[in-house]
Amino acid sequence: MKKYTLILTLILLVGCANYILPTAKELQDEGIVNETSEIQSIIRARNNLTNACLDCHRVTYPQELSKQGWERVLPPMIQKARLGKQAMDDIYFYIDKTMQCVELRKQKELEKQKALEMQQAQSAN
Amino acid sequence: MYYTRLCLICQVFFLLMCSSFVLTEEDRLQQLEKKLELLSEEVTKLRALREQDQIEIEKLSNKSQKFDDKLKQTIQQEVSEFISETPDQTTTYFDTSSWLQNTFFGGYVDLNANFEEGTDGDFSDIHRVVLFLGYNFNTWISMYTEIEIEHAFVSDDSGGEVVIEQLMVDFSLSQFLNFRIGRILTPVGYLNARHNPTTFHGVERPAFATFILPSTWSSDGIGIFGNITQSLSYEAYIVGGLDGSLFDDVKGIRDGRIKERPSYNEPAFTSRIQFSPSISSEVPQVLITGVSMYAGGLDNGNKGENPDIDANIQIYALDFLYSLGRLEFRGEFAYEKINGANEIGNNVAKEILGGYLQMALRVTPDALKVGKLRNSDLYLFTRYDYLDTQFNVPSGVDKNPAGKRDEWTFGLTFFFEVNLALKFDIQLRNDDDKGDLTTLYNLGLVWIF
Repeated sequence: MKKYTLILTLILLVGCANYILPTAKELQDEGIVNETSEIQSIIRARNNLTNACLDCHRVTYPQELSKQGWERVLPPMIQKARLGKQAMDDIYFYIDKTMQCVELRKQKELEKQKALEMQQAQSAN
Repeated sequence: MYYTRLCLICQVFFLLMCSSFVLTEEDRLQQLEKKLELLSEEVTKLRALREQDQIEIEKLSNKSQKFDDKLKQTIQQEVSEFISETPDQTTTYFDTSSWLQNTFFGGYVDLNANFEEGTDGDFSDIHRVVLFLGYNFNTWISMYTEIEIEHAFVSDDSGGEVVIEQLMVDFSLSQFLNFRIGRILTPVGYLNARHNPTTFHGVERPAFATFILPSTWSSDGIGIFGNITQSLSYEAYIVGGLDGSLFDDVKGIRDGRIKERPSYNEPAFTSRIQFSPSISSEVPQVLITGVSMYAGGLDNGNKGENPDIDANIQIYALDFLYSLGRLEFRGEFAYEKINGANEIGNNVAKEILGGYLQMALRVTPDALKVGKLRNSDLYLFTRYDYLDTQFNVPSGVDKNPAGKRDEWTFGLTFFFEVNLALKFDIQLRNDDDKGDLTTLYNLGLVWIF
């Protein structure tokens, strides 16, 4: 029993590096979007991804597909969901900004780690 | 003597001359130092000015870049608008390229194998093959249709059927107000309007969606829909009503749907309001909640025939979907009130109640999503259905205990791609008539394209 619990826990833990679905406010706080038109575009895109897109499939996160992958699957889905060109542009923009957000967060995490390592080294000395 | 005096005078003069010469050198040095100071001050001032100029230049170049981007965007937008508008103005409906550009196809397949505990009830079932077809007449009018073939073969004796589930024309006027006419999906509950097999877990739709809010439930009518805000949407329709004479004590309102030529003898009103707020948090969250209703008379038959039922129905439903990172919760609840249930007979209850709760967990570690399985996902889920089609019966009517039942479903859904999934589940069923029923094992392969 312990073995299975351990395996399950490991699966869950390994999978903890998770996807994100940032809101317009989060992207604004990170300094990734600033202008009103950009914020509006992000709001529309996120709303479509978490609403209209669920008419046909589960929640899909921007990081799940590569840029080329999205370019392959998005246009036909946009048609089927009876959304327009603007919705497609919004979603591409959202995907792009989410990727930027992922990179930014990774960088911040690395910087934090480095700072921590330096602190530890100093305290050891 | 004279000579000595003269020497003395010369010496004094020489000394005076020397001293005057020394003073002049110091002055010059001082002047030079002053000049140097002034020059260095000037240089510092010039440097500061240059730095200010550079900042100004950077600001100006940023502004000009933004202006360029905006200009490019505007030009691109205008060009694309011009291109998209042009076919409407210059081509006719029989222009093949224009027709293809404005037409879209799709569909979904629900392929099942059902096994029942014991020796009976094992079969394969091409449960649903559905084809979508849509066409944009122009930028604001579009048509959408969904045609379904059930159980692969249609004859008088088989359970198979060919049905037009959706056939509607949308007039998109604005974000807030749009019109829809035709055969629509009755907007009660969550699953009926979102019944594609890749949207729900479990091989079969929940029992709730079979007997309480039967899915797929189409209605013919006219109505409006739109978004009040980005997170608040609505839809409301006047539609053909249900045939109350076909209601049942166990199947509830299921057979009351008129699939052929629905009657407007006693039309119904149906609407749904959906709220889907954008939640900021480190773990991604998605929330969709809906409140919906249906109210109408029940004196409706196929082709407008009148079954002479003096009764009406009101349905109120609540639904939600909440996704928190790897966890997903879903639930639907409905209450149905039938006024004049006595008139209908068939042991039909005057109140029907049901709901389900489902929890699913995405268990695929991201580290394993590589190579051919990079888009795959494995979900484990469990669902509890509770239905009581005999919740409250009219006085003088005996309750049929088979109407009260519950069901546990445990299973998994493996998505090869977001639109292709393999499903497996086990269903433990129970009703008040027979107690524990035989266990069902279901296997399904579903896709949407």
